[in-house]
Amino acid sequence: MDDPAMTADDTAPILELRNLEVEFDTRAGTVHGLRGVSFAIRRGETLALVGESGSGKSVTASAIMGLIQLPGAVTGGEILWKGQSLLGRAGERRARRLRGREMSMVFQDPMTSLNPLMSIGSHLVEVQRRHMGLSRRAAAARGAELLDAVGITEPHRRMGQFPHELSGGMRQRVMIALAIACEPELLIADEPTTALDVTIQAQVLDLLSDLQRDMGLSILLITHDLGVVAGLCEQVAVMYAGEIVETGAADDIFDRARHPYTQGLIRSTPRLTDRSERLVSIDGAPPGLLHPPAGCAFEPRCPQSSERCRARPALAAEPGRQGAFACWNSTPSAWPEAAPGPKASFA
Amino acid sequence: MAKFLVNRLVQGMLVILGVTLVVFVATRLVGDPVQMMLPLSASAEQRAAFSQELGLDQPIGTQFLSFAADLLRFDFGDSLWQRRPALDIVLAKLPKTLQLIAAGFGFAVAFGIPLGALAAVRPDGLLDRIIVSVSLIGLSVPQFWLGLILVMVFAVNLGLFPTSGSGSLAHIVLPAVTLGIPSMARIMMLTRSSVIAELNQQYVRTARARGLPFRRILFGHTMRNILVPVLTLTGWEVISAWAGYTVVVETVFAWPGLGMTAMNAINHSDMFLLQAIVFVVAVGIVLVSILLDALYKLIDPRIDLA
Repeated sequence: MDDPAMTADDTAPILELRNLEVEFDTRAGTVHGLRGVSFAIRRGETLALVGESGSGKSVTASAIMGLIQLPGAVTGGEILWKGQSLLGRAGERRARRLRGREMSMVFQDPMTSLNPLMSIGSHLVEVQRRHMGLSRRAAAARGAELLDAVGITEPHRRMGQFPHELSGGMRQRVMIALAIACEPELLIADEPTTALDVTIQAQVLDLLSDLQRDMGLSILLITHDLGVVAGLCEQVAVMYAGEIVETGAADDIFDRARHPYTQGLIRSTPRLTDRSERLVSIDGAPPGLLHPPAGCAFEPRCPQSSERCRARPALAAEPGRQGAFACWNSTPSAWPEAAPGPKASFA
Repeated sequence: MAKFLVNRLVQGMLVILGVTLVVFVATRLVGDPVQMMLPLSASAEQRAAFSQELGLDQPIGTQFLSFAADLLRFDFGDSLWQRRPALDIVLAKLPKTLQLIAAGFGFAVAFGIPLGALAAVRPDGLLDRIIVSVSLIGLSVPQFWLGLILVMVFAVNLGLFPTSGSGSLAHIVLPAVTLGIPSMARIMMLTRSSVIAELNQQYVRTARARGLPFRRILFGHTMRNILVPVLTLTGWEVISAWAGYTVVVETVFAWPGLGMTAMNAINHSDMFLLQAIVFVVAVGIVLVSILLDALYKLIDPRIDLA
């Protein structure tokens, strides 16, 4: 029960990534999926990993879960779980024992994430028997409790149903029930609400937030939606082109982002209160990771690039402020004020 | 389920009726039994009398009506060749063919599915290449030739099995393997490609993320998902063996089943026997296809039979 490692130091991170690199060998050449990613999550903390498609968010999650498959491979850096490596031969053995038990994951698409030929109950029983050594009967009883805990009505009837008989929102709840079945310490949620209706999205986020509070769960939330971040996460890490360009407390990031990319992301998030007709965007596209730029990856799209940007900026802490960013020319606002356009009609 | 069975049985009867109609016409095109059965020296009167005895002097419409009326009583007439009720002969030979098919497809499934899954675990690996190459050979070889080669190697040279005939368990090995090999190769190929595709499904990824070992995912999750296509193919293979390939294999190995009987019936222009055989084969095909549909429902809860 009282594992000394668990009580020793609550401020020590349970998961830490150090300079993680992942590469994919493709016919066209080596794609540098992750180019040195570092961050840490402490117990009970919620970290949002934010970035646009292709920035490496999901690759990061897969790497932590040990799900990177050929032609991809972790080629550098370190993944530490409570200070112990999850890479290398011994590390992978350790990771196998952790997966589904101490760390688990919820994926983006609940429609395809369950085995179509297995009942909801069989899924829940399987994972508990495997990791907790429960009897079939005990696992089934606890499975129904888990369904109830994630807000599924008539849990006993649902146990006998098959995935196709459930809505997308319910299936995602089932996925969450499966993920928390063995009382993990870390839950990785990879765009858990992207495939759901907006009203269901809010419910699922509330559920995650409740679980985080009740179970003392650490959550790594992967999303491209800053609106999702605001409600749920204390910490934010912003990814761009396979690296982290800014980290910090969520409030700081929203109010005083220092990296031009982060500022651009926040600026381009549509707000209901702001009734301008046009959506603001960041011109251009992220660089291809087949031949990543030697300097700052955001430089071609940056409004205030300079000579210095030819060299790659490191993630550096700012004095007097928690958090760090990777930019040579940071200013409070790199972007011109959006011109107040004619009012948009939402009617 | 009950409604489904009734529906399918009614459909099946229509199929059988259609088949018997075709056979009725076709058997009358194969050859003239009167010429086949009577010696060349028979007189015209004898031929006419024989023809009358068989009812062949009647108009074709009348013949079909009496044929259909007999059919309702399961009376297929006497075999011209053996002079006893055709259906009795067929039912006496039936168990032999069923044994051969059971053994042949037991072999095909028992090897085809595991080998296919094994090959799929590491696509393009050494084991995969070996399994695929061998099964390509199995696919390309005609059964009558394969049967003869097996007899030469295992019966004549090694003396492990009898060359032909039936009676002991050893007798069934070579014909069953000959019947099963091409089906085994096809079942293996389909299992392989299905497993490869299935292992890329998202639910396999989530199962891995739940910490389930690969073995458990492969056997517990993936194999069940590929069962529907594999079952479809196996059903088709059983039907084509039942309605065709057993004729070849039984003839090569002198296996006294329906196939060899069909061969003899054709050689003797025994139209009544042939009709009885085709009728039983048609009934078998209908039953197999109903069984398949019921099994689909059992495997996949999404399949709606009604």
